[in-house]
Order: sequence, then structure tokens, then C-alpha cells
Amino acid sequence: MRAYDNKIIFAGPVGAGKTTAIGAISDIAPVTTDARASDMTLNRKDTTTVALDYGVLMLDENTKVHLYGTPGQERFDFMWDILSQGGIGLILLLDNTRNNPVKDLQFFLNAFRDMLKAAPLVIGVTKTDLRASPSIETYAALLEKFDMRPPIFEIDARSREDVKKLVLALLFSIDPGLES
Amino acid sequence: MMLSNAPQPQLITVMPVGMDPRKLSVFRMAFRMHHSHQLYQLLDEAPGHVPDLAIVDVDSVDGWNAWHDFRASHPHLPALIVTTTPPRAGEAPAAVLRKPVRIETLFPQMRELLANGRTPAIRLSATVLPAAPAAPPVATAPAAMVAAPASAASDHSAAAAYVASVAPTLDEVISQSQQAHRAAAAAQQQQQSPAPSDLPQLMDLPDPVPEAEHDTAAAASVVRSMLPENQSTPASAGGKISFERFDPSAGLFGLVARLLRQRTAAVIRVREVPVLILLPAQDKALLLQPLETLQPLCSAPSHEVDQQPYANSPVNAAQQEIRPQTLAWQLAIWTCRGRLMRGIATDTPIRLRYWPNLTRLPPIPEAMRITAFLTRTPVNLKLITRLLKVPPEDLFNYLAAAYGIGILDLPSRSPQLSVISTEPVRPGSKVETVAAPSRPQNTSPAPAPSPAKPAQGSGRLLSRLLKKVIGL
Repeated sequence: MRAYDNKIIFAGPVGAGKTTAIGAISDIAPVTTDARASDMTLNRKDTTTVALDYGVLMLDENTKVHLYGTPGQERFDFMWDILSQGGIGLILLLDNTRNNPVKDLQFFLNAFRDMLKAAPLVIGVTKTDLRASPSIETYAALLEKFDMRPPIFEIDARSREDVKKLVLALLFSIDPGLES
Repeated sequence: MMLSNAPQPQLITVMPVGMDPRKLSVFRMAFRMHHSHQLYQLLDEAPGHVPDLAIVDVDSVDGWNAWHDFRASHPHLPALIVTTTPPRAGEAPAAVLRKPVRIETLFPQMRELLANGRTPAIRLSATVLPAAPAAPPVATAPAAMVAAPASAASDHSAAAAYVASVAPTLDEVISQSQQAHRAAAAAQQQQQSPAPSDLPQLMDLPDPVPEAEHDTAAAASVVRSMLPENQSTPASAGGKISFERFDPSAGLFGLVARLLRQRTAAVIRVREVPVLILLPAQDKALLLQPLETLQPLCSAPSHEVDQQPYANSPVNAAQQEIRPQTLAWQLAIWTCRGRLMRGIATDTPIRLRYWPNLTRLPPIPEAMRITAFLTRTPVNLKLITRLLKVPPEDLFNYLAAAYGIGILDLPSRSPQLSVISTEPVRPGSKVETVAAPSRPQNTSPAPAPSPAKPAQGSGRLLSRLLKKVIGL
């Protein structure tokens, strides 16, 4: 049996909105470990996550679902394996304004391939209002070629409704018959 | 519609042991598909019920400890062990069902357990072996619910585990369905030539057919599957079960859907009044009237809807810019109105090419759940309604919308459809046609949680997480 560790992983490149998305649904103010960016990240934002983000969904006083945001920079990729073990699923956020978001998609699918052998994937594409291409249909058609049909939604990481839909899609990907 | 006086089925509560949510999902689906005088439910769906029997999966990381712990706490509860590596004959402490678990062996085995009220002989698929109290070797490696094909190991999707686990059953059902399709199509081709269609082959629809009544049994099957489990099979006064159908290639919706697939820019008119400009290559549509005014126009007959070439002329009257997919999705809902689109029979295998962009499309109740199911494997209406129990009007609206944006995979040539009648399936009138399950209020805050108690397993955890997220 795959041991669930009551956690959902948010991954994606720098600036995709992982910290914001966790904050949109977390029951607590998200714990972040941002630091002032000092590398190429500075081109995209002033601060960045250097270890992880943490939020929580409280199911009752004794039961929590942990929300972990992985650091976006590749030099912290050793964290990804640690965080992803036993996760309920992976929510991958892509920033459509980056140079090559399709390449980002391929990179993260490869980076989390071990987790994705056993856990579902949901993709949220952010900043489509700033750059519409690639479209959701483009991403979907690409993945379809590899017989992958994960949920792919345009989202605003600041929108609780959008982030909720990502989590709902994750749950129904595990079990379409799931009932509350 | 009258209800028969069929006897109430016996409700059997099954306690799962050693299963993660995906394995539970498989059994949950299997139980929903099973219809007989016995109805099965998982214990986590009926908290407080006393289990009638247990199914113990010993392929988890806990291995046979799961069995020992279970037996220590439930010494007398009939139990069935499922595993990919059954112990040798005489070494298993209870009946063993070898994975992949198949419906045709699972339910007889459970019936046997219940009938005997004790641990029956071991069954290795179809082989009966004697049981013995000795504990078998501990299974150390995690295993899937079934012996999945090698390709599933590398699948990045959660669907892999599910499809692998239920494939023997679903594939059989689908195969039977497809065989029936081929036979029906062959018979049809002998009688008539297919009419030309400008739709791509993937979305090709059968030719319009006169209303007929020879699909009654199939429709009745779908209706039965839509009924709550404790409700008897309905029968209309005339013995007919009806779905109102509509032609998705007709009218405003049909024209928009076709132009989108052809990626043709055009000005669309209704009764010679331009209402919108479709620009698929630019991924936009320009509405010349407020969007809401298109709703009544969706009922306009085809001869009142036409197109004109778009000549890049300035558009002065554009009211709103909208994405073509959003437009087609909305027009589908307004056109469908809870009716089943022509081209889908009750046993037509349906699959979605990919998930629609549900955060940016007009909402359809249960869209998330329907999508999750239809992207996993081809299924027909009978299975969808039986397993998901979504209200039919929601399902039909969804299928029409998915067709409108071009993600609905249908057989290239479906058999001739049977239109039973034109009884509408709409709120207020649906009772006469299908006794649909009530719609879950998944957009409203979740009801007050039940008294706090420790989670009974990860399946329960996911249900509680679902409730939590819906209520956010």
C-alpha cells in the first residue's frame, strides 16, 4: 500500500505562484522561507523561496493536510524528492510568461517522475492574461501524445476558487466516485 | 412513471483492510456496478454499520501484518484475502482471491462467504484450495491492486492504477459494446449509405434517423443505473423509457461547433442579423450582441442560421470579445438543455481527449467528476451513470459541451440511434422520464462535519478533504 502522508505538493518554476496558491487555500498564514533573490531569480521577483512554503488544511483538530511548496530553483532540487515522498498528489504550476513554459513542463515531469508513478498530477497555468500562448489546448495536446491526460487549468494563483479547483481535480483524479 | 414492487435488496457492508484510496476506489466502483439482490457498500461509506465481511489486501507495506491485526480485532468476521502472490495450498488462513480481482469471481466469493458465515476454502482465481491457519510468508513489496501491465508502471497518471485495476472488467464491457456497434453498423451499411458530413471523422455522427423505439431496453438500463440504490426500477405506463435528443449539428450551436473544427473565420447571422464573428485562428469570437441574447437564438432552426465570409472589415458593433471555446461551451449548454445529443447511444464508448479548462468555462454541475472518469478510459452511458450517479441532465449537458469544444472522442461511425420519445429531461419534468439522483450541492458550503473521530483510513481522509475544499 502506498503510504499517504497527508500532504499535497506544489511545484513549478520560480515565480509561477506556488507561495501565493498555498496562501489562497491554507487555513493558516503560510509559512514561507523567502529570501532576497540574488541570482537570475532577481529578474523575475525580489524575493524567492529558498527552502519551502508550508500551509495546512485543517480537517479537524487532529487531522491536517499539509501543503508544501517546493523551491523553484533547480539548485534546491534535492528538496523535491524529500518533500514529494508519500504525497497525495502533485500540483504543478507553470508561468506562461517564462521563455519556454513547455520546456518547464517537461523538466518538472521528469524531476517528479518517481512521485508521478503513484500519484496524480494536476497542472495550473498562471499569468495567461499576460501571455495567452501556449494555450491550455496546446499543453493538453502535447501531453496527449504521451497518453497523459492530467487536468490542466488556467488559474490565477491569487484566486481561492481557482486553487480549489486544482485540489478538487486532484482528488477526483484519484477517485471520480469520491464523495464528501 | 410507475415504480415496480421489487423486493428491497439486501445491503452488505464490507470492511476494507490494507487498502489505499485507489484500491478502495476500485472496490467502490465495482460495488456500484454490481446490481443483484445484494447491494454492497464499503464500511467507510456507512460509518456505524456493522461489517458483514472483510476484504484484506496483504500486498501493502504492512504485508500479512494487516491480516494478523485484522483477525486479532475481528476474530469471527468472514474475510477474503486478495493478493498477487497467494500462499501455497493449505497455508492461507482464509479464502484467497488472486489479483487481478475480477467481478465475476469477486461477488460469487463474497456470496459464498456470507452464505457459509465462516472462512471458506481458498480460491485462487477459479481454483479451490484448502485453508490452514498457518501464516504465509510476509509480502514485502508494495503491489498494485492488480497485476498491472508493464506499461502501467511508467504511466505518470493516476489513471494508470485505476485502469489497470479495472481493465479486465471495463474492457470486456467496452469490447462487447464495440462488437455490438460493429454489428449494428454493418447491418446499417447494408441498408443505407452514410450521408455526407462535413465533420471530421473523429466527431462524425450517425445520420439523422426517424424516431424509433427499439432501444427501450438499453435506455431502461441507463435509467435503472441512475436510480438511487434503494429505489426500484421504473417503468413508464407504456413500458417506454425516454430521453429527449437533440441534433448537435443543427442551429447556431451546430454551426459554431463546425466552424471551430474547420478553423474557419465567419460572420454568423440569425434571421439575417449578424450576431457574432468567429475568428478561430485568433482564438477569439466577437459578440455583436450581449452574450445573454444568444440564449434564445439557440432554439432557432437551422434554416434561420447562416454564415458569411469574414472580410476583415472593421467591427463597430462588437459588444464583447470571448474565447471561442467558452462560446461553444455556453452555446452547448443553452442548446442541449438536459437532452442527449444524437450520436451517443447508451452503449457508445465515450472518452475525453483531455480535460477542458474548467476554471474558465461556464460551470456544469459534476463536470469535475465526469471529466475525471471520462479521461481515464472509454466508458458508455450505462457505466457512467451507474458509477457516478450524476443527474442525467448534467451529464448530457456536459457531453454536449465537450462535443462543442472538440474533446469528445466517439466512434467514427456509431450505430443508428433509437429515439424513444421526446419526453424532455429538464428540472420539473425529469421525474416522468428518469428518476435522477439528487444533485450534490458541491458549490455550497459543506454541511456540518460529523463528530470528530480519528480518520478510518486514507479513503476517509480524501472524502473529508473533499468536503473541506468544497467548503472553502
